[in-house]
Amino acid sequence: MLTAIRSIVEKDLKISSRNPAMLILSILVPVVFIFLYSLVAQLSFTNPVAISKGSDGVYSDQFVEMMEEMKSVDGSYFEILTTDPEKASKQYNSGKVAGLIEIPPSFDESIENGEVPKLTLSIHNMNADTTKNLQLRLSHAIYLFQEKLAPDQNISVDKGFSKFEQDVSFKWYTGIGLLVFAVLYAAMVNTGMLLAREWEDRTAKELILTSVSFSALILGKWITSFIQTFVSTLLVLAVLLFILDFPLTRMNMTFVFWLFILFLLGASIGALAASTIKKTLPIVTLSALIGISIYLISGNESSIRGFAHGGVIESIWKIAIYIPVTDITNQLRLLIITGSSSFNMMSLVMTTGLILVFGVASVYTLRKGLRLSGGQ
Amino acid sequence: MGMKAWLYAMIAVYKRNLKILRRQKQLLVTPFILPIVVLILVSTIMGGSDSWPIGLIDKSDTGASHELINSLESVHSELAPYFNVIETDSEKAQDGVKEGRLHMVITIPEDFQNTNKVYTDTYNINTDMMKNVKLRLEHGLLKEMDHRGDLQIETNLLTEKPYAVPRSAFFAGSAFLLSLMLSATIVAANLFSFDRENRTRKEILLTPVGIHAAGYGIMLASGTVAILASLPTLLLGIFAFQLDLHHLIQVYLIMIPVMIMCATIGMIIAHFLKRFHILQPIIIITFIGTFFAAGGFAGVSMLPPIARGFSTFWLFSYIFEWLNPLLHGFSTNLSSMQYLLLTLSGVLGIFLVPFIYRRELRGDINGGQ
Repeated sequence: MLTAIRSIVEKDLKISSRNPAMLILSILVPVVFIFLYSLVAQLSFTNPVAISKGSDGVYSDQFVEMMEEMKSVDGSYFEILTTDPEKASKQYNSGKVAGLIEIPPSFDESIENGEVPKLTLSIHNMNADTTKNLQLRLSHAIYLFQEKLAPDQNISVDKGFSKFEQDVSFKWYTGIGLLVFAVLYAAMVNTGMLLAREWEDRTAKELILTSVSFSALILGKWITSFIQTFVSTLLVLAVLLFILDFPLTRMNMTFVFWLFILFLLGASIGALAASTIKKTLPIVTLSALIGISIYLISGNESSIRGFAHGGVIESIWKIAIYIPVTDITNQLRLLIITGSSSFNMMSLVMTTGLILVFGVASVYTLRKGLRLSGGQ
Repeated sequence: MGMKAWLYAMIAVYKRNLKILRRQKQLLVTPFILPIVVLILVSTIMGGSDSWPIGLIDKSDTGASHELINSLESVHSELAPYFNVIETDSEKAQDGVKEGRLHMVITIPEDFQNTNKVYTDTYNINTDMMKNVKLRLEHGLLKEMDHRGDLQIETNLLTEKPYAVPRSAFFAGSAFLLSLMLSATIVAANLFSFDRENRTRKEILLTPVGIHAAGYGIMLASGTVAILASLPTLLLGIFAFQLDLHHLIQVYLIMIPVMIMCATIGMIIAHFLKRFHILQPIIIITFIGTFFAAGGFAGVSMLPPIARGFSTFWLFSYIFEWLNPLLHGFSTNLSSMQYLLLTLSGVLGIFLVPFIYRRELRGDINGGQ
């Protein structure tokens, strides 16, 4: 059996080296997805805005400075494109910027005289999220200004309990989810394609007629897939480091172990898909669909948990808690955020069970479906 | 060969393509399913209600604390209140925030009247969630300060339209446009590649009629499928995600040259990449990426600088930028220049087809063909 496994691995690696398109695909797809999604992640912390600073004085300078400086651990709240009234108005009217904050000419004078100046926030409100984001950010600036200007009249906020010492970086949060997606997707695609191409390349009958068991075939495919997935994961980590400041140094052996378990899960799904469908085309589509869905559901479970009180979102959250990837993703996040070495045995048992079920099912499906067509 | 024979050939290829697509349902999975999956997941997870569930504990139970609670409960976005107070029991709220079932619990202490201070407990799993709850709280506190006459700066909100487009409706409009572009591209690519994968390429290439008739047959079939595939996404958007449609027929008409160009791009991709399993993921990921990072998920003007830069030369982003305002009633027409550019893209798409087939003819035919 070991010789059979080794032969399959050597053969597949040789084919892959001759035609690296498959390997490139398993790398390219997650890398492109991660790159593009990371751009969206930035959307959550920095919003472009134009300021029309009509007033010139200490207070308006302080207020603009405050808007420039306010930020979370991930970045500034505002990207101020201009403070020049003419440019600001032009940018807003042309649609280049979605929001315009107008500081009236009387701003400084009003404050000096103890009057209340009025800012105007104009928004192209085609997406209610844009309105909310800009409105809340402006409120934050006003709150900070109020705190400085009239501390006695301000209702202050004191921090009580918080789950983590400081708010977890959204970059890291997203990075873990994307890494899980990348490993799962690469494992599914690599294993599925390695197996299905035996049918498409019309070499399946040689494999089927061999005296060695199908387990050797599946295991051989898994090993080749592991080598390819390992290469693509390394590249994905490099992209995450470059784009999302992913803290590679916080990865420990437990982290790597969970990634390996995720690989096995992806490989078992890929093997089952390939032994059932026997065509490469639907496998790629299916892997992308499963990978992206798992990313959105399991990768965001800890976010949606807090607002999953009724409606469809609660149903999605309930689905998420039954997907073992959810708990693994949360554990990976804990490892990175806190550096703890917590280990949930239940997740391991559940995931291993699934891997076994999918693995056995793929061998069973291969045995049951010994049909060859198309001149094979 | 006359024009009539050429036309017959094109229609024959069109009918044959539709037959292939009916038999090979796997080729229809992506155009019909993917935009729906993207819409459902993105709208549900990222486009949910604006009302954030929180715990609100009033230990003070005074006139001042009641007024503060009123202010917090009444602050709202264009669509809904900013907060949905779902827990007022201190112990349950603390448990909720520890388990992550609540992102924030606001406690008004007994001595609130003297200290003018509130306390927050947070499940600070990421800065995005925290930004949402903390900034909402500050917004509510400003409202309360305004009531008291303590506010130092007031704001006046001016929106372009008196009505708001919910995030999920915005996603639905974009998913509809995505389905048209993605379907036209991927179906054309699949059909072009089908002859190679199924070893029928030589029959097409050896036809006495101009071979590019096959390309136009693919273009027609992909356009037909694109329009059909857009319908489920459109209906889902209308009935599940509050998409209030404007100018639908106009948008479909405008999309015709875009779909022509997309089909041509699909054929170019298939010509170069050749195999299903290579071109499929590249097209899928390109369009999903376009949706997220080039105007589908949020308007280009709200994107980070790198994405804004990318969108200026990534032509698909203009489809979202130009047609979303039409779909949501923020504009009634495109500019003459926009119409001209879109028409030119369609014309270019038509003219490129013969070149693709001529190039395809130059390639080797092997593998038993």
